[in-house]
Amino acid sequence: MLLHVRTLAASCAACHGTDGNSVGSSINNHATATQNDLSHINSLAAIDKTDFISKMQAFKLGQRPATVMHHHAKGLTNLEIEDLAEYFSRLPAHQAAVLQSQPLLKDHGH
Amino acid sequence: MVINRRDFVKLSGLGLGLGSLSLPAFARANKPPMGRVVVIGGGYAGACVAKYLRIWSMGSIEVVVVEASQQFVSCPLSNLVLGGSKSINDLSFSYDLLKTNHGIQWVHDQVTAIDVSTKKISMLRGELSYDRLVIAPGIDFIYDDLPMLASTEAQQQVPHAWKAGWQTVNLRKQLEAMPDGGVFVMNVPKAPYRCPPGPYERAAQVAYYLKNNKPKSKVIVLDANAEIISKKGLFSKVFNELYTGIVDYRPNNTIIDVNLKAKTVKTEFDSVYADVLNIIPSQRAGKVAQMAKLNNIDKRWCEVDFLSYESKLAPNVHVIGDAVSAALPKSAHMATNQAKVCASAIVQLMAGLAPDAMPVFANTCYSYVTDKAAIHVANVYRYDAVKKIMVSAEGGGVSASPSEQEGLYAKAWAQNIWADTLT
Repeated sequence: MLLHVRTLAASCAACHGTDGNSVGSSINNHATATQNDLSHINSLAAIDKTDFISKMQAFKLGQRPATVMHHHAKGLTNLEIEDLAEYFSRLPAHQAAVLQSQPLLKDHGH
Repeated sequence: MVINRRDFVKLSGLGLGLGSLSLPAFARANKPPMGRVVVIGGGYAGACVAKYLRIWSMGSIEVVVVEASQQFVSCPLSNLVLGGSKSINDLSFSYDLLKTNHGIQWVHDQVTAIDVSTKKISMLRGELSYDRLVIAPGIDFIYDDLPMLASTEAQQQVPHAWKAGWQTVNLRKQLEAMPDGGVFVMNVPKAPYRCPPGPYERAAQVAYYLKNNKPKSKVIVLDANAEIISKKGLFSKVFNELYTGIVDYRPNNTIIDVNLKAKTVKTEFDSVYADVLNIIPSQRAGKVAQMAKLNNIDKRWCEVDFLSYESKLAPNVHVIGDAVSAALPKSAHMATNQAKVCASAIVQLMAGLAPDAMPVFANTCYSYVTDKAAIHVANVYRYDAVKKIMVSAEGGGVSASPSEQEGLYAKAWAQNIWADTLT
């Protein structure tokens, strides 16, 4: 079961960051968006289990306004939502850094 | 912890190698080496599988990545370079953090041969043996129907810009040099191809630039498909309402000939003149997959077991990313999902255990329709034990309409997937 939820949780990283720590998002910024552009996506690490489940269920049932998350919540089973809650609640929160870009190298192949 | 070839040869007999130094002591303790995985390709799929193999094996699998480029250049967001709101330098990244954070051994070389019977790969400057091989080759272009575009010179004039890099920069320069009133002609290849909504996003980005800078100009989109194949309602609306009179979308228009001198393209119906021409050729699994003869589906894509991404043709060889044959979108997020399922399965298999029998993952794919507004398609995909494929779960869908809110989400998506893949 851990394997199953670990891969599923890792899938959330594209938006919510590796191990649920979204880059640019303040630590424990689970609920409110703040000043910078990147803080619009919440971190999930160390999230409150009950809070996660109630939000995901609300997304799933169409009771919470959403742009994207209802499309994900509806595809998950109740058990998966509970397992994700447990999994993310146990991950430590930390400040994840934005990866700095660099100039395209002259000899890049294409 | 960048290592050169000589160091690498010294290390290669040591099992754990340098990698374990970056791990906490508890992870190293009591973990005998489990063998070596060689990963060919350092795109979204390859970089991600390397990282998660190291993390989930707690450093006990030795991972060697072979990649021909020195740098990672992101295809996602590269259409914004054409629109003018991003530079290619915003999308180019070093592999250094990925290597050092996870103790991944890295060989900057080009693969020349793969021998699955002896479990060896040959490169221009050496050889490597593996216990398991992961091929993440991306895509290769098919020029059989348009052989005049195969040369580097031809692509200077008609870039595909479908692998982000100098061709993207070239196409942007051509667009900037085009006079007001000019015609930008692009195509959409017959599906499946890398990034289903990508060509439509490109049309919108070019139109965004033209609307604001050269409003008398046009974008003609020649689509080989019968209709817009991703986010159809949204893109139709964007073309018709946001870019009225600029985007001229033509379905069922396969390009059958290109005259480079006259700057015209021929479809079955028409001959179209282009001031700037952008042709995205048909695609198949990248060259490394072809080398190993793994592209058995339509001679284009690779058939895999969706529990492990092991090839159906070669044991101990896994294929991930755009090269995989699956009725799923060939997106960066999907590539990283496949990489994670594959990494998890390899760690299990190398420990003599069974992989997760019911993988589930999510895909979110954003397209920018202006410099700030974006739209999405999102789905959960679930393994179907009867059909033995990944199928989309209930409840997926697209944006209600383009919004700047989603533009911010798209930006955060990019920053997070880059950090997840490359650090």
